[in-house]
Amino acid sequence: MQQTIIDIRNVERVYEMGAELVYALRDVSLTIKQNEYVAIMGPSGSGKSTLMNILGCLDTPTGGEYLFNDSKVRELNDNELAEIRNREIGFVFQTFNLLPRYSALKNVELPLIYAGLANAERRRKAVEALTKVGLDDRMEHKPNELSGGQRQRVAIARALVTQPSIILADEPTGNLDTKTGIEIMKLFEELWQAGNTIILVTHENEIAEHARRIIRLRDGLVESDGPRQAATV
Amino acid sequence: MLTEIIEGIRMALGALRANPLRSGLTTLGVVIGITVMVITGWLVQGFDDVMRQLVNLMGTDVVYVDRFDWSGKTHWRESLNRKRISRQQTDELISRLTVAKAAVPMINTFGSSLYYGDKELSGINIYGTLSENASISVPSIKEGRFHSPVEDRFGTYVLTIGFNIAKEFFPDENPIGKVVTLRNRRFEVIGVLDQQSALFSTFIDNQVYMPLATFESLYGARRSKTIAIKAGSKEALEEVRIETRGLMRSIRNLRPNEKDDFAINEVEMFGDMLDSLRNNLFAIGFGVTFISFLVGIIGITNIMFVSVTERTREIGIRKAIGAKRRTIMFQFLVESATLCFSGALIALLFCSAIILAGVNFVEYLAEMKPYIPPQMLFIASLVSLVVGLFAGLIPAFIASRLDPVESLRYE
Repeated sequence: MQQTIIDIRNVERVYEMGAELVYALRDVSLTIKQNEYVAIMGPSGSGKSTLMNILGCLDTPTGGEYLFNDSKVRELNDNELAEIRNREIGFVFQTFNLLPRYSALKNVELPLIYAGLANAERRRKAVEALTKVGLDDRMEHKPNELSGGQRQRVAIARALVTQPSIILADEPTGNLDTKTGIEIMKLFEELWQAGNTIILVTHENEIAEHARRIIRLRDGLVESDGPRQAATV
Repeated sequence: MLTEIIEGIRMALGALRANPLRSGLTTLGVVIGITVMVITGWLVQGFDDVMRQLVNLMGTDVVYVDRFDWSGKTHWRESLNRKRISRQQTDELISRLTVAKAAVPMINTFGSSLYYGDKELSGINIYGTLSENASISVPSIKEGRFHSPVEDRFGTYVLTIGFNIAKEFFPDENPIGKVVTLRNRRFEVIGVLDQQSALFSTFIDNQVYMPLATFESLYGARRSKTIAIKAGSKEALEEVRIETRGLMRSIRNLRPNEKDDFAINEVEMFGDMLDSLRNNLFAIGFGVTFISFLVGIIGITNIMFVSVTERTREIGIRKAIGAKRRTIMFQFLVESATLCFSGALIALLFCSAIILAGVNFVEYLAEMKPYIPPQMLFIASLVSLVVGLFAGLIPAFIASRLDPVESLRYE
């Protein structure tokens, strides 16, 4: 039995828009265990981005309970949330979100700086992560000197470098051409094979099909949750 | 923590390099503030040197009986209405003094011109005094000698000249034995005085000493005299003052209900005047510095707001990968402190240029030491850091509180 990393129960997220209450998430419950490969799907407005922000501890639910590695996220303060994001979660964004002035290596080192690691240790780990994503020959390049696929690889290396409990990828291929997208998905597959837990947020079926489990959201509720159809494998 | 500091500074320098012109303009207020502050410090230091030198040279144990109150506390018009101190009164005072170690009469007049060849120096301070004064109130002799008792007796036309006169007239020759002209009389230079002051040297060191008899033959004997009285030690000063006052009141036939019609001055009282000048300089410098810093703080706060807004997305990214509030706050504080500190460095370069220019091109400052006082370096750095931290406080706080989700969405 794999250890449960994420356990959310009846989570609700409400935004106040003036006098109106907007329910981004109404009542979502799910658990994600170690070394799962999950895709969260849904049309825009379904609440998948909100769910991702909550899972990533960037946002906190307005109702329900979120247990991350058995600790109650709602009771954590800002600093503790930052620490969880730093140590336990690796983000991969659609727009890469690298810091433009920093080299690839420096971008990957950044989470380790926040974790308070010493210089040599930082460098060693960052080089290791970049090697893992196949960019050991591009380490000193700045983001604008890299292709889209390479940038996303740097972002993945940055997500990996702290050896987080989960990797949260939000439309990771959304800004890439099909061929590069396939390469990136291959990389995720490898990472999963190597034991990482991956949560993929996407609206594209082909991308979601890479995952082993698909959760569909609609109007802030879980529409379906189960293993991907054997037929599409 | 140390990693964060080093990273913070590195980030800040990177951000500054990205916008050199904007950063430069932003720090202008700080640059001006620090410049004024350091220059003021330099001038005040010069003033203090002058004071110290004056007191040392003219003696801390010497009092001067004069018609005028040097501290400026008695109105000059009242002083002008006082009876002159005559030579006879002078001699009587000197002969009746018992506590003092030595006393000597002197007269001075200001404003005459001195000539050597085709060179002219105006605004000369001319002293007539007796040879004994060499050990009482006359500055030390750099070369040559002071006039002798014999020259006093005959009223010989000999001069001991101030440092600046020697420098102007005889830059490359030995001044001793040269003949200079004053009021159409030919004087032989017999001595040169040590420099008395670095600041305003051209003013203070433009002085000549001649025998009292010579002075009287040139300017008449009616002028009010000053008596320089050497107490011998600082402790004896009070006694000397009491005795002098009693004697002078009796010599000047003052009734018990009449005010003193003379003043007993000390060099330190002369210093009071310099002191108020110094304090004014300080106040003006401080005022300008304060206003510049105010402008500087506003400018830097403003540019930090711009920087925070421009980098909202960056803040979001940093937060997403684990930067804490204090880390973000710290990053922006370090950035504004670095901005100010580089302003201070620019200011110090400016100051060096101004000081060098001042020493080389402004006559009054010519003898000042061209250096930035070390304590000013320290104060300038400290102040710039404090100003930077202060200016960055609100923007940094706002940056640290940004919502990561919102920031990541920011375009």
